[in-house]
Amino acid sequence: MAVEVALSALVGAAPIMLAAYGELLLERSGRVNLGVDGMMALGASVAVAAASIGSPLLGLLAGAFAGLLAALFYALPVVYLRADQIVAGLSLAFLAWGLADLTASLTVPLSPAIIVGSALHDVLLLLTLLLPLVLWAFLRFTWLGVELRAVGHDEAAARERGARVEALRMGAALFGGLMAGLAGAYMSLVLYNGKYFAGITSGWGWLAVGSVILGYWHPLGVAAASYSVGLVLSLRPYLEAFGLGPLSATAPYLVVIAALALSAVLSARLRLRPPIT
Amino acid sequence: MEQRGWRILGGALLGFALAVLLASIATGDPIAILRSVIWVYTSPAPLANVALFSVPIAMAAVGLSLAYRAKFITIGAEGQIILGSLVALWVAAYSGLDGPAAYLALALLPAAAGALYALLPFALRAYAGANEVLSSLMLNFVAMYLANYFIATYLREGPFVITRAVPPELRTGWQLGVLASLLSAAGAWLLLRRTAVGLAIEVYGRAPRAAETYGYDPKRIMLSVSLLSGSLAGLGGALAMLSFQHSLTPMSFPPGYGYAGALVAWLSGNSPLGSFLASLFFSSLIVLGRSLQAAGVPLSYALAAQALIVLSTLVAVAREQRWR
Amino acid sequence: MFFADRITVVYPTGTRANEEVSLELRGGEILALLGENGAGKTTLAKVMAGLLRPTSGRLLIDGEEVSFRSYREALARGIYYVSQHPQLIEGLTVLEDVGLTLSLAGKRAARGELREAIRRLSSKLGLKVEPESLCEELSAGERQRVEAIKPLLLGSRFVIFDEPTTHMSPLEARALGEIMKEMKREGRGVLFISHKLKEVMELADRVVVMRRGKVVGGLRREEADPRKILELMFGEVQAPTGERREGARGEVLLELRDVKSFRVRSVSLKVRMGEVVGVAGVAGNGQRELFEVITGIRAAEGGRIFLAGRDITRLSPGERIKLGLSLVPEDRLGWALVPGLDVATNVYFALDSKRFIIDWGEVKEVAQRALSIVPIAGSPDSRVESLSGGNMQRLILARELYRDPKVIVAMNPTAGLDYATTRAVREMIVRLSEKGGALLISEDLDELLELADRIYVMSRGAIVGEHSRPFDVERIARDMVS
Repeated sequence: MAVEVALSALVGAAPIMLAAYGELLLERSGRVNLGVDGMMALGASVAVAAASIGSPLLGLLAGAFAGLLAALFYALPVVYLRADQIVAGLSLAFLAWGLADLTASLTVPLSPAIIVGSALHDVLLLLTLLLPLVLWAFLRFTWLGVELRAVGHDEAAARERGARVEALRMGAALFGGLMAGLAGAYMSLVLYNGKYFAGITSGWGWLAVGSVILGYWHPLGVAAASYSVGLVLSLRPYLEAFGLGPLSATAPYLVVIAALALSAVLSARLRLRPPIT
Repeated sequence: MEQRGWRILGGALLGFALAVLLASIATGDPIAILRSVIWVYTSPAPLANVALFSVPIAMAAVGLSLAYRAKFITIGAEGQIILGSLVALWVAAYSGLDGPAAYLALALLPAAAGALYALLPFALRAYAGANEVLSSLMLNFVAMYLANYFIATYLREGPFVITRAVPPELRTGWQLGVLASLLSAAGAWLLLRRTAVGLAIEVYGRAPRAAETYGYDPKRIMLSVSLLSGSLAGLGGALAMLSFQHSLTPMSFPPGYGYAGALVAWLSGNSPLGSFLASLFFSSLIVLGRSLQAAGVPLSYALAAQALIVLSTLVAVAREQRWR
Repeated sequence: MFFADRITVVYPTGTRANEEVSLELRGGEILALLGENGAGKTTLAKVMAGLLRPTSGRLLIDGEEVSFRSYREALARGIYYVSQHPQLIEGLTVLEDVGLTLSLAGKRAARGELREAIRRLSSKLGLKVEPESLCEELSAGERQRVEAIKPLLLGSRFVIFDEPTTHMSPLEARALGEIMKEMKREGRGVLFISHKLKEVMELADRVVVMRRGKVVGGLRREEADPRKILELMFGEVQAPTGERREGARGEVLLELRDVKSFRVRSVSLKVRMGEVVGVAGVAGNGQRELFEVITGIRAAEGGRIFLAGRDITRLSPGERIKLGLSLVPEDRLGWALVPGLDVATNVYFALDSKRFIIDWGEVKEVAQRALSIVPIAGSPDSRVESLSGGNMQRLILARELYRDPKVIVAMNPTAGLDYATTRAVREMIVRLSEKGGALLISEDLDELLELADRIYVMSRGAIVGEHSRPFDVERIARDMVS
């Protein structure tokens, strides 16, 4: 019973978790991308289109790739031209929302590609659970991971030593796009049974960004935080039945905001300086 | 115009061209798109709509330009607009007020709602140290679901999930809205140029350390820009309700006027008067998008086009910094 | 042999940091480079490490001319630079930090081997640091020694230590000395930049002294005696006249009683009416934090501050200014002045009597009145960042003079200024002190010797000495480098 609940929560949380992993890597390199929500939407839309002409696997891959391409709109100005990352990230979110709807308007999904219960879905869930371990090992045990963290901690000092600041950030931003795209593809193909609609992400991308902070920039922490956010999301039907009605939809956002405030206070009290592996 | 101004203009035009290109690709009919573009910018009917839609954008952008000058990066105008229009709808169609009392309530209550809602990201930042960008973004969704809740429950009217409509005698044309946004732009300009509050905003935004050392209180500055931008956005929402929305249905997607306002404020270099002009430009993209709806272009096209313009401008301006 | 040949460095501000400086560093020796703050030592070291391109001059290794475009290239030629603020990357472990340096220099090492190598070297060097401890938890001294391990692992031939002992305990300093000796025994050349005479005398084979961007002397250890070196460092000791002003001092205007804060361990001092009081000390000993505590933007964690008899410890910065505190912060742009605003607004914004509706005519008038006290080259309408450093400082002082304060607190007010402006600024500080008191926190000892009636010496966050006219320069200098 408990396992079932945990698993069903995992299914609901997976998109937030996947997107958070991508954002985590970018934030460890010292940049933040607020465009996650848009990249997710684009991934969701492209995945539906590709899945309807190919296979669910093609849908997932296409969605992830679309996210990666969208990330270029953020990464090129921010990494190489040192443009304002907040403005670039938000613009990317809005642009990708539009592109997602446009893609959907151009294609007519033939038959919804259902992948729940398939082996592909199991692989995705496994990836969701294992990726934080891989990321943790990458950041902890490889010199490339150390270099990326060094860039995030102290750009000037790392650059002085010859760290490849731009290449690493570019890589991290594109990985972030890939993961967000995959997360979006998961949303449309799994959570919404192969359908896409405008506003499908409803800000989950920002919940993912918040989860990165709540997870204290540690892969395992981020996995736990984003899973918990997903858990709150999966509680919505119960809250709704409890008499909150549509108001229950605000719960995950309020929870994340409250948690963010609490963690900010705690960090200040404990004089914590993120991030630490 | 100085160098930076030309670059912003160039970037904006490039972005506009890209947006038109995008629509052409999406519909596969560039001739029709061009015809629509020409129609939007030359005919009186769409131009009146441009004026209409520009109002919430401009009101939000004027307030945000103050906030951004003080380096308080809130994106919360979207939610404040939603709440402003919700409150305006309640006053106009549910409260039973009429005559001067209704006008007074319509002028004050939506602004108060926006200002109160703006207190949240302020308090989270000032007293907990939580980043206002993220909290305000999420509060936008909270506001949207909150509105949906009221629309589906207390304000629901009839068999469908829709509210009552604003009674005809309280509806306004574009003139009042444009006048209001012009006045707020002028007011914000005066505030910046002629008052101690404006000076504090300028000093704190440019040199927080100097501001603190010479006796400016960061919290008070953040509070004032929060209240100002929140009440302007709330009022913008009210004007949108009275001039073109008239009623509400549940939203699955935020309408985007507040987001456009954030982009406009940035595009105009946080200048209140520039924000007014840029919001007309951005509003024209909404009108263009709507005129293309029949050709299958989705509503979010407008926001995408606006973002494209900002991104091209970002690149144009960043190149300048690099060359220097 | 590493030879810096007639190096000249002119900064964009026009400051001539190095003027035809030549220096020879041989393998198997410890060469000490001594000099006051601003003498140009770090500039020279950065040129030698490829961190700064000289305006003219060249570098030779074993007689072959080399030109470094980056620190990495210098690293590849066997040069290692340990900066004054050790650039360990916080958030990494010691093992990771050392490994990253090696990996970026193309010497990839397995974690296990590297861990062993670090353990071996640190036990040999008396460094009790575990490879897995976080860099940010290390003391300044431990960081310096971790830095010192890297050239050993890289096999660097020349190692430059830039004022490594500034933030070190004596014990740590001694341990670092052992490392230098070990490097010397292995045939490496060590360039040791320092203020501290005692350790220099213990370690160095040769001593080179710089002053005002020039090499003013080179001595072998045998011929170097402390008095001679101090004279070279600080110049002809001007017989302080002690007759600058007369008379008993008036009431106490500013008093700090055992003030504690971040990097400020314990500071007690008094400034009386009509007095210029100096705080001398080597940079980074808590002066900046002390200044912040006095302004009120940094909270005092202990002790009391009194302004004209009134306890201001808990007052906000604005309230302190209203009570007659006047400030000349260290950073002109961004702290004293607001970039992007014009000159007149920059005078006006810091005044305590502002109306809600700003009358720009009045602002301009105020600015003109202030600038009539101290004229600047630049109109009230010009943007403040278009002014030269000297004019910015004149503007700041004009504003403070106009304010007619009780006490002025200034930090390094003449840093980076040319001779004429320096004279003018010093004169203004004296003028300000005539109607009140002045606290002058300065790294320039000459300035304090000239202006101050009394000098406190600050070291490691505490006042370690108080000196009155006529000053004993040697004793002050010794306190500073204690």
